This record gives sequence, C-alpha cells and structure tokens, in this order.
Amino acid sequence: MADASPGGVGFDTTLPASTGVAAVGVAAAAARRDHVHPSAVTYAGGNTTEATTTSTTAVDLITVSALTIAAATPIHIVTVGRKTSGAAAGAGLGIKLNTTVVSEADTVAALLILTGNDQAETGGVCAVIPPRVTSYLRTGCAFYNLYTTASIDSGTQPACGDNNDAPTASITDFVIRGISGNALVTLGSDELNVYTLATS
Amino acid sequence: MLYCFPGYPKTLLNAGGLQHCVEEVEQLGILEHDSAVQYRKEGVFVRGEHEELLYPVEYHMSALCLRDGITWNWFDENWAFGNGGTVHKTSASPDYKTVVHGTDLNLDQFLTRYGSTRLAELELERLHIRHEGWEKYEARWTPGTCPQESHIVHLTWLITTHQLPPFAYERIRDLIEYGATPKDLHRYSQEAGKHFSAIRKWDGSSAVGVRA
Repeated sequence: MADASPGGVGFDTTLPASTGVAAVGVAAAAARRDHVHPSAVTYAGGNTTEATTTSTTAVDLITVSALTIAAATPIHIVTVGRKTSGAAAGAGLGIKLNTTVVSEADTVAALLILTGNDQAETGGVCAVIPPRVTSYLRTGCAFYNLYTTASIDSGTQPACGDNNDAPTASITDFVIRGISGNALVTLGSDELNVYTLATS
Repeated sequence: MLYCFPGYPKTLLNAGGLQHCVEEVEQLGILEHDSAVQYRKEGVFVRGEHEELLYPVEYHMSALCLRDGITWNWFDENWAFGNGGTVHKTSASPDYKTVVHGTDLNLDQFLTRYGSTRLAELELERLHIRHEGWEKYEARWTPGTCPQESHIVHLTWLITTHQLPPFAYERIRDLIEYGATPKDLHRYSQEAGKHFSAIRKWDGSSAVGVRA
C-alpha cells in the first residue's frame, strides 16, 4: 500500500496509527462515520470547515472533483474568501480547470483580490464561464464584493483566460487557487458551489 | 520538505494558526516562505516568467492518509502545494439516475424505445453514473477506497525548509490528527478566524451543483 513514487521518502510504518486500524474499504468507510478515528473523509454531519493557506505562491485550495461538464455547457460558480490581518499584504483567489490554470491566484489581478491593507477582510465572488469552444477560450467574467471595516468595494474581474486558454475537454475538476502576499496573512476560502447552466 | 496529514486539524487551528504554533509558540520547525518557491506534484519550481525546476519533491504522507486510500498518486497532475501551510478541501459527489432494471434507460427513454408498457411489469433501480469525471477521480484513490457517496476530503500540509526531527513530526501529527492541546494558548490571537477557524457542519445537501 505504500507509495514508492520517485522523490518520495517513504512512510513511517512505526507510527501507531499505521497498525491496528480497520482495513480500507466499505467497512472502514462505515466505521469512519462515527468519527472515532481521525480521517480525511467527511460525510454529511461532519466537519466542513474552510480551507486556508499562508502560501506565498499559488496553491490548490478548494477543489470540486468528479465533475463531467461538456465544453459547450456554461458554468456558474459562487465562492467566498477572506484574509486576516498580520502584514500589509494582499491575497487573491484564482481558477484552475482540470490541470490548466486559466486565472492564476494573484494579489494584483485575479478572481477575487483582497487588499494590501493590514486588516481582516471578507469578499464574495460569483463568476460565469461561457462555453469553452475553439476561438472562445478566454471569456469568463466575475463579479465580486469586498468588505473591510473601512469600506465596501465591488466590481468585476476576469475569471477565465487571463493566464491560459480554457481547456476544450470536459471539465472534471474545478479548482480555486489561493495566494497570500505575506506568510503572516492567512487566506481562507469556502462554500464553493459549481453550477451548470441549461443550454436549451 | 512536504508533510501531508489527513483531515482538518482537530485543534481547529487553521493554516495561520498551525504556522504560528510550529514556528513561534512551540518552535517545532521553520516553514518555507520564499515567495519564489512553489511545490508542485512534479517538483519544486522557481516561480516566474521562466519557471525552473529546482529539485524533486521530498514528501511524507501520514500513515492515516494511506489508511484512507490517499497516496501521492491522489494528487492530480499540476497540483500546487505552494509553500508555508495549507488546509485543503476537495469535494465529490456521485451522480445517480433512475433507470429501468436491466437497462441504462430512464422511463422516458424506455417508453420511446419499447412503446407502451404496463407499469406493473417494470422495475426501477437507482444507477450510479460512472461518467468520465467520476472515473478519473476514483482512479486517484487506492483501489477500493474511494467513498461511493457525497463526501469532503480535508488535507493539511506543511512545507518546511528542512526535514523535521521525529519529536517535532510526532507533535505536529498529534496536533493535527489527534487534537492535542496547543501549548501557551494565550499566545494565539484573539482576532476572530486568525488562528482558529469556526467549525461548520455539513448537512450533505447539494442544491443544483456540487458543494465544497
């Protein structure tokens, strides 16, 4: 079961948790629901607390996986972001479709920008990504609102294509990327909802 | 070096809180904060216009990740771990449709193909649609471990400048996986959400799309 991929350093099989636990599979999944054992997997009723990062380079923060969205189907997404105080530095969210970064998380121009003021901020964003067909691959747009204790700001941002063309293949993974302008500022994001729009 | 643990830290420390704990309060290690350094699935890169591969990723997956079926292969191509600390979240929901037993046709499609049929002769069943996205997602898990219902996966990873000594790793593991109490709680910020996140419960509902 250990992963022997190149570059790995192997696994510490002496850890107490590596012995004496339920075997993987359906039985283990059922056992995990009572949350007796620590686990990565959460079912209904479990912890769904926000994703956060202090990374000063872009990181995959939230993913909605196991999708199959055809290229001709428009997508609508909604999500929220926040940052803490800690330094005079901004933070931002971006979008990756499958493995392609279409709008990189940045502190200057991205899906959602949290300002460079040393303060806690909260923002919300919704975006529409039109069909991703040949010659129309950089077409998404986003509408955001940003709240701080000093001001409220709203506006538009590019949502798809300011870095790369959108893939023309079916979308199977929708990823929100995040970046913090300073490691002392924590970026959070949550409540990512991905919708498809009817085409007829 | 990249250390990956399953779940949201049971202490409810968020990424900033965990970093504060590791670097400042308990001084267990130093995280990588160089804004030019980005850890990815494919290696450690210098960020910028002319990106350059520095060296392969050294990583350590927690034993509990392996128990859940999450190995290094769980991370997709071009996955970015960034640097510093991150609490990541992935959600997935299988799609189902109601079909006539023994076929993959819904009632409307069945009637279109076979004409009028007595309802008493039909048996309906719920079929998991194993579409492209689901197949791809399931393949990331160790065979037989991918949950077959709506779920959320939390992963917590830390990127350190050097390999951690065993005592430091075990302490961090206890904080994340087993909810050990952080030391010197008075040294954490009182600002809401700065070091600790508010816990939220998932009701499992999915309106139109998929929720994370």
